[in-house]
Amino acid sequence: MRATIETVELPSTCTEIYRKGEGPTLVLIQGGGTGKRAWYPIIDRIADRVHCLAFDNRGVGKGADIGDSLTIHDLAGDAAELIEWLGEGPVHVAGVSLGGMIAMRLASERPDLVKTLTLHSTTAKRNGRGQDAADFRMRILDLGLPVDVLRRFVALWSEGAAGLTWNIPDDVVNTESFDRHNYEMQMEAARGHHMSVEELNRITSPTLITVGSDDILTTPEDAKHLWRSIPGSRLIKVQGGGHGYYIDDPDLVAMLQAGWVAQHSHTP
Amino acid sequence: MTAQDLASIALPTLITVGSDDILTTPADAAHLHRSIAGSTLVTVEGAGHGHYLSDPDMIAILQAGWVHRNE
Repeated sequence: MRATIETVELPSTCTEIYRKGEGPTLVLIQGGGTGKRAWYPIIDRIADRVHCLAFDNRGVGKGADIGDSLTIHDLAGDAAELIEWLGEGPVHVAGVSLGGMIAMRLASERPDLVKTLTLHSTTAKRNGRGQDAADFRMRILDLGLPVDVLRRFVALWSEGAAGLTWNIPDDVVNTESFDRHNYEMQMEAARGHHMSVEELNRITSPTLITVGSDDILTTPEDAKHLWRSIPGSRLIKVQGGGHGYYIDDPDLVAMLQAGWVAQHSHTP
Repeated sequence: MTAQDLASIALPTLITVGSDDILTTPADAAHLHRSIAGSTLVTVEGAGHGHYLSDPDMIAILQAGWVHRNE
């Protein structure tokens, strides 16, 4: 099955999109410092049933550079512009980690654009340990250590109790295209992220939440808070999974993601 | 089934459990998961023992996805 790559100029930004597959459209939003290519293993597994669209957020891959400030609201605005550019009306939206923050903000502010919402390994607000881990990432850069150290630190925080059983995708803190300012701005956007219960309550899209039982960054308790706050949402906990379980077990994520999309794509 | 019996299962195995199952508990499911090598365990939050009846949609997603994955 053929994939296409296209540069898209949007009112507020520009990005590169990757499309593959046939079926209902699913827009996939990546996490902090991570490019769209990290979605490819999942896309490959569901493209026979789902039209997948992955793109680069501002500050990674072929996304635009970030200016002096960035918020999750800004990134959700970019995603909204992309969905409007598609012109299909509401689409299925999935996000992981920072991408989940963007997706939940989008679903709360623009319910007209989101048919269903899937939130993988994410939170309504970073907990203290998550903030400390982000601060430590910047400390690694302050010390002038190689970007690969940062990349491995991120992987360390993303593995389950079984250890790093997977290869770190190139697009997770891509050492070849890394830009400190862009990375720092994305971290700041995540730092400022806070969806109140009232805002989460406004999400009307059917919502699937997934979390790894061993996720120490966006914990099962964080996921439970989302589950309690988003009306009618469903929560699945994957035993042994860490923050990066979507990388570790793309088969499982693919079956959940494709099943969720299919279940909410039937015509009446 | 002893742990030895369970260890002899060499098939891809999906285990599901409701977080509120008081008959066959999440701890029981965790024992199966630990004993069947390479098994996958997913917990459906808020579900009880009859979650396959009360929530056929979620079971359908898991079951169809599992079959598709292992075809």
